Amino acid sequence: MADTTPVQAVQSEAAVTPAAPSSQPKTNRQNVNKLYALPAPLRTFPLPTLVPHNPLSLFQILYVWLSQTINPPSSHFETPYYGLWSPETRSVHVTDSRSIRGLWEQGFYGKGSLSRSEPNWMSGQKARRENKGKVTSEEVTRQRRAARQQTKWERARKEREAIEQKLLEEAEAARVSDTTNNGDSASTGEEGLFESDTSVTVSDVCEDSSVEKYMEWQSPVGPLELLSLPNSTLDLAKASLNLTRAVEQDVATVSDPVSFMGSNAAPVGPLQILALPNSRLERSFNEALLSEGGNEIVTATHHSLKEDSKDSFLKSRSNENGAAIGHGLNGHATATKPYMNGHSSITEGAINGSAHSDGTAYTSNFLPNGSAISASTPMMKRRKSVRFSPTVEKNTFIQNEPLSPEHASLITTIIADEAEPAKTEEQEHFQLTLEEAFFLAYSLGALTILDPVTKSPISNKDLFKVFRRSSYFPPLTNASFAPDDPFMLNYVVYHHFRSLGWVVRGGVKFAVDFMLYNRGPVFSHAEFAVVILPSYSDPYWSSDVSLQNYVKGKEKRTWAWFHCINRVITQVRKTLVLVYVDIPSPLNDGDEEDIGVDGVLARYKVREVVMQRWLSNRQRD
Amino acid sequence: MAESSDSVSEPLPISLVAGRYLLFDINVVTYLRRTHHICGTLIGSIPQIPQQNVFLGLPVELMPEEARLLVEKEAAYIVDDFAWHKERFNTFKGADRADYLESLRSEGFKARRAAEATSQNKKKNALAKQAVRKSREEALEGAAMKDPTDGGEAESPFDYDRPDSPAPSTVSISTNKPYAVTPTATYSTSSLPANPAQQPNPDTTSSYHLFAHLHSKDYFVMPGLRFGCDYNVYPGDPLRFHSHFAAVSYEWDEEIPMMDLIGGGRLGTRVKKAFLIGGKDLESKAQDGDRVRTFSIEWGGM
Repeated sequence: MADTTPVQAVQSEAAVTPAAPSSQPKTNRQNVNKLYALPAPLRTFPLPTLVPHNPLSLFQILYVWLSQTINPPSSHFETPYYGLWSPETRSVHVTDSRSIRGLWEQGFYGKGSLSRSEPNWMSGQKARRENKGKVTSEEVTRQRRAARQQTKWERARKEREAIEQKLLEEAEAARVSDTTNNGDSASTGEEGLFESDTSVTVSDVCEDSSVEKYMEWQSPVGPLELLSLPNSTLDLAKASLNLTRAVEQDVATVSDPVSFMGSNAAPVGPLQILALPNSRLERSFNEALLSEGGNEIVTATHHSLKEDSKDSFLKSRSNENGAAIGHGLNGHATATKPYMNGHSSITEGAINGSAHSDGTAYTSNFLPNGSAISASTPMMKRRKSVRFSPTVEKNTFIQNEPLSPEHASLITTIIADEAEPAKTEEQEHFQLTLEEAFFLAYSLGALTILDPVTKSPISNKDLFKVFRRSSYFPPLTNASFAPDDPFMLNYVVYHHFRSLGWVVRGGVKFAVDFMLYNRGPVFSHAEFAVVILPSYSDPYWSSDVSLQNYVKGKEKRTWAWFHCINRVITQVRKTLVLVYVDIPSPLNDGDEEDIGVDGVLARYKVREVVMQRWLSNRQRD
Repeated sequence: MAESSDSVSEPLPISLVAGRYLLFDINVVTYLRRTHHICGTLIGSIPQIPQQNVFLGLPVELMPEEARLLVEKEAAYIVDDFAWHKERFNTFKGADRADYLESLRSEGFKARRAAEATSQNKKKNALAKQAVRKSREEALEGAAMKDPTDGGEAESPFDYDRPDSPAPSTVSISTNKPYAVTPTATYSTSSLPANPAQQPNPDTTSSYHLFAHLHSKDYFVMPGLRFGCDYNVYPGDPLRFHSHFAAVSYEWDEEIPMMDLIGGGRLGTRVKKAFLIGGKDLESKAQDGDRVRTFSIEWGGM
């Protein structure tokens, strides 16, 4: 699969002297060590070890040394890895599996386009088809996230209940104090923050207003209330409209969830968030649907409930299509259903606080491959007149995927493909960032990057220019280069740390530029997080007022920004490294041409500053 | 406190000392907190425990935004302490001076009386406790030897509180001398202009619009440096609630670095807040309101 020849060459040489490994199966750690034995996509040719009591080993050393001096072997592989420059994505794509495995296993370059880092989308698909559960790290992460999400909602619910309880108590106390205040003017019923010497008038005003607000829009004390607050005047108008509408309808219809469809329900779970209208257009469509075709939807839902498997998902969708709702509206029609659920559960939740337990039940049932109907049946036994449709649950099941209904339909097709036993074709490619690609091509010479049009290799010199131009968005078209363009900054730092033996990977998810791994992501967590800061220390940059202003803008960072980064990095137990790159004065194009890539890079300097949160009373050893 | 916040009347003076907006009066501080939802930050050390920095005391420092908001609401005005001191201190003579000294003296007496009242109370309590414990011990053990640790414990509070001479007489004598009070200003507050002339608003950054917007929605807005943001937004008094938002202000057409969104969203979600960004929409058609729009961001994968 990978470039096995060099690996085995090294391994066999190493295996000569120590005792041969026994026949027992290797541990995971051993496997990993073997798989990732090469730290770079290069071959090394170490001399054999000298065994003092065996004079023959001396001869062996001599022989190897002589043969290597006379006919030096190339440390590059015979065939380099190939990548394709993709200007649209501003990255280098690698598609052949030998290059992919090689680049990943020998130095942890690049990432799979559909994976978190290691390109294992395909194996994940296979595992899913064979129903193995969690095999890939993405699978594990997904499950962990689902569990975490559940605990979060649970926690939020508990907090909200506590706050509501408190508010009720306070409202009660306020009423009591109000009556006493009205009865006799002495201020007796003080509560909360009000000190006992507060004047009666002041406390009265405050209490009244707060109580009033609580009635109108609950003051936002929990995530629920916060979400249910009106977002705009439009919402406000809607809410009042709904109120009147709800009053008009008789009790039976009010209990029907459909009647609540148009109101702005607060999303209490991922489901409901999914179902929220994305635009005003959808919103108005929603309204229209309510007035004309509400019943149709209900029947559709019932119908789909009778079906019983994944396939019914597709069927019910087509049923709805048949129900004259129209294809363009289809995604939306399905999406409205959780909406009603959400709302009805909220109305109940406001009374007995059970809203989130519903949400929890949802999530717990949406483990991968859990059958949708088994999730919905126990819920159906409840007293509430809430309809659950398997379609909706399908949506939640893929909750980590894109959120909007349009995307959901896209996912459906993927699932349909997957259900078939047919062979899945590789949809993933491997991506290298500009820095990685240039390091591999220029510093290691292990990668040949092809032009997307001509399919011919791009020379390092041209590659340098292309990458520098593409590091802006949109890419620059003119030929002149600034000495502080993003590619230069990133590459200088990348090269610096790679040369020192670190495995450098992107750190966007932690809001930093790079993460430094000691040996690689499969061995340990990243130790350091690198933030690149340009430093305009060259006298050129302070020679002119306009330049000074430019530099000020470039170097400007706020303390809030720094605190934010520092806290994020500290939370994930890494050490923050500020890397200052001294920017040289700009060269004109002719000079740059003369000194070449090496010369340009040689003009940069890198300084590292390690930052750590230090608390005087905690770090006392 | 004998005085309550009733004695505070608007507009209030805010001292500007070395570019900081400070409040020195506890009544003013409580009044602003209660009435205007302005909390400020305590920055003074506590005289008895100056080496710690967890619990701080007066003065309260206001953010420039808070000062500006109060000035714009005409609830307060800025007094440049340095200029005012220079102007007033040279002409501090005659009746003014006597008044000022007298006010200091009376403050000192007040402080002394309060301190003595508390110490007397303490003493009374300690004596009562001691008496109860003694009688109990006698009842229990009679002539038996006392446990050494128990005895030490029993004695320590008493020793601490007991002055050398018998208690009641000292109290009455000591009221002769007032405590030395360190004044927070070199002028009496009465000498300040009641209706100050129009002043320029305190300088604030562009994030003021977001601050004012959030404040107008009845949120309590505190400085957010601790959470790496501009403002920490509380739904009610910060003593009662955790903050709900970590707010960062941007210019409407400012480019927002992606990294900032990731960092802010990540941190905000981690500390159970929503990461809120907002700014003043200069092109907005809406004539009413402050034209500030806000968006909150949550990090999904945590």
